[in-house]
Amino acid sequence: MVEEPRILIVDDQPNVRKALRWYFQELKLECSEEENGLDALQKAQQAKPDLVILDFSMPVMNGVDAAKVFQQAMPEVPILMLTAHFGIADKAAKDVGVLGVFSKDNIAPLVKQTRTILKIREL
Amino acid sequence: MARDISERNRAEEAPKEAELSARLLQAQDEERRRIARELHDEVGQLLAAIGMNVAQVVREKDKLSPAAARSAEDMRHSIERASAEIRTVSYLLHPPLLDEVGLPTALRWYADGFAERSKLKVTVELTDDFPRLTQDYELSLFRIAQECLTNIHRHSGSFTAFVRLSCVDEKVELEIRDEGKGINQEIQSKINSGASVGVGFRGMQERVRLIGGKLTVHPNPNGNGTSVLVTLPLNEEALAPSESTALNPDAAGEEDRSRAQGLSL
Repeated sequence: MVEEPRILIVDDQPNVRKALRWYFQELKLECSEEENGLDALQKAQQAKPDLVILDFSMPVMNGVDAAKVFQQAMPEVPILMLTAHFGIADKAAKDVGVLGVFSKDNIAPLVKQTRTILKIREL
Repeated sequence: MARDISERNRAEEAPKEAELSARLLQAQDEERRRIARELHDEVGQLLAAIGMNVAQVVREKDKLSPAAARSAEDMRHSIERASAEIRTVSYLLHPPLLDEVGLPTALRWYADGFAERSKLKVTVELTDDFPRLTQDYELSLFRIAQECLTNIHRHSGSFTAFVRLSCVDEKVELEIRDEGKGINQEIQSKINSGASVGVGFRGMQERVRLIGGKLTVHPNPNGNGTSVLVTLPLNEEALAPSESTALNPDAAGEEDRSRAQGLSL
């Protein structure tokens, strides 16, 4: 049996997690969520995600620090970053191996990149 | 790793993507509103209390050593500055007047504060009797004006800005103009065709799209610079319940009631 691709959504705002989970579940992707980088890292050890979407600004462990740790612990897992502070996050995130940084104000590029990474075809 | 889950056509996906955008914008607006309220109500009040205590110390500074008296004075000034900063940041995150008195007043207030901070000359032109719109519409139009004014200050080189909010022939128009260096024709065409051109415009276009309007960019008709024009139909969906049910008061909705509750607090 082929498993659904798994996405780990990490954002401290419950409504953002809820919105992303709703959308990705509509695409038949399996979603799990955490509210900070540290908890996400622990979750990722068990959940083995195919893609991690990190918020830039979070309590306990912010997105850039979390991405750094994720890169060391699971270098094979692609990471995308979502932020309300576009421009500030961009360089810092890419320096630690994040594949793309996307604005919460314009979600289409994130969706497109997710589809590319997980090979979800648009007909 | 991943499975090809296709069998879904693009036309089916587009509304879901739009719904996701709407939910994320709403989540961000709610978060800004929450932070603004916390800053104003919690940190602001705490600073006010500290300020009062320090003012008492300053009043009795004759009893202090000269160094301690100077420190107390410095502290009073720092607290005043911090309070002003908190107020500004809180208002920028979410304009408190918007919910209570509506878009025209909030825009005028924002433009005044912006002019003071940026040193730009800002002119605001408002239609009399502009109706109350639903919260989403008012916040979207306010954010667009805010973003445009910020762009003018940062990028246009203009010394002036002009904001016009009107409601004529069942149509709402928000126009923000400057007399700066202008946006080149190619970028204007891209914006007007909905292509991606930088986060600021994408965010604005997304907001406008979600409320069923249109955003276009033109050269300033009065000379140099740029004009950003948002138009949207003034229909039942746009009008706040109190406006759309003026002839049918029994149909007043939940939003109206919560607005009234907000005012009474």
